[in-house]
Amino acid sequence: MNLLELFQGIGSLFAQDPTIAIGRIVLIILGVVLVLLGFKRVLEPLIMIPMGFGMTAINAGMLLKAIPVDGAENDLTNIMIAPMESSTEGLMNVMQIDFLQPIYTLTFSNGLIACIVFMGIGVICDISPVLKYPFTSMLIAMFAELGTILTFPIATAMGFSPGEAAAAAIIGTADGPMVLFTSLLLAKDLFVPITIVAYLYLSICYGFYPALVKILIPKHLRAKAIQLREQDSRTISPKARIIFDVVACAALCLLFPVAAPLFLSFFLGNAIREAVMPNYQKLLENVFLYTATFFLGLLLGILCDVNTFADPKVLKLLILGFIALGVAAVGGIIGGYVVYGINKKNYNPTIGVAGVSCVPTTAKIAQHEVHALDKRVWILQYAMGANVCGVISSAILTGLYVTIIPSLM
Amino acid sequence: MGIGQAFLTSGQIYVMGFAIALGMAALIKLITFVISHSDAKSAAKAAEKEGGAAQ
Repeated sequence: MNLLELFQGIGSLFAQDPTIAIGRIVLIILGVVLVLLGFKRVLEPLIMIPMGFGMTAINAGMLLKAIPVDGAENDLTNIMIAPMESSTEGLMNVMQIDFLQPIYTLTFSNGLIACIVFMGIGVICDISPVLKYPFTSMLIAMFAELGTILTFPIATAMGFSPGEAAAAAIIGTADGPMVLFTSLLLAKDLFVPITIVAYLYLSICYGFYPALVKILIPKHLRAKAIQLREQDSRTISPKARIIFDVVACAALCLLFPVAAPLFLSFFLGNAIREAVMPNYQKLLENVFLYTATFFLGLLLGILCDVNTFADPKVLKLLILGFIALGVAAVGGIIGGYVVYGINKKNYNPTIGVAGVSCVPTTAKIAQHEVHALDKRVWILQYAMGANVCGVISSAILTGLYVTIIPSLM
Repeated sequence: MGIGQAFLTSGQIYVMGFAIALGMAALIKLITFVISHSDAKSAAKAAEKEGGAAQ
């Protein structure tokens, strides 16, 4: 036995096309870089550290299907996951060998993991600001959906099929579970790169959005305090909040049965919060949400083998993701200006960026940018209203895309 | 699908989404209005009862 057969991770590098081997080495290094960027909090560590480890391990830990003969190319395999396996018998075999296959088959490919994350988001969302300022919050959130709307025709012009274009457009909702859910339904072949691009860009929102806010909103408007009005002092009763949850869930499920799992997850999570059930709250927030986020990161990393990135569509997806999230933030800020006009200048347009539903990151960015200029100005409650409406409007657009687009395919 | 049709489709989706979002906002207004009125009514009833008991 020679050494390359003994150490097959290295041996497999010599048993395949040199470009693929170089790609594997690049992805191993990229995995390490993601872990370090997560560690330094440049990217979101909750996703990036497991993802980086997964990416490094899958590209390093390749096995040869058979011992190579006369330097001929050889198929590679691994004992972590077989994402393309779909036959019942094959799945039963793979699930007994590949250690992450049960999680992939039973939670990932059916969208369960996205729904669990969404349930956790529901638990951490306070909907009181939405109930206090429903029209302004919804208006801003819908302006922030311009990223989703404009990316769809751009993706179509770049040669994507309607399903793929819709899944890429949903990156503009800035909502990871929504992107995963849509791409699983409409573009199963591209769901790995689309979801990775979405999570990568969402991780860098912290650096990219504050710069946009500074460019698009002059200092005097960023530091603007909102004069209190009658509705600001109003308290929203828990009864009103839970009735809204159940009525909105029923209404949206009636309109879009295809996206019903997402609506159910979000509003059920929120109802558990409003009904004050601490045991369920702790279970969903501390156990389910973090377990799902951990496995989401790890599985996305494991799915990042070199063949995923060999697809030329990945480069286009990187461009589309940037456009989608960039236009979403610009749209949100335009929405902020519109509300500023409607409210006769008694509004801070910085709140507009919070219309991009990346709970609670974008709301925190809005408050942070205002605080950087004047520590006495608080806009967080308005920003959270727009932020939570961003989640609802994203769910509405996802429902529309997954209902309408299949009829065009 | 051509780019023209894609623009049309996403435009339609946006208009529908906007209408539904505004409908949701109206629903919220209705719910908060009804709940605050029923809360005010029950508070008035409770106050009336308390007043009667005191008398």
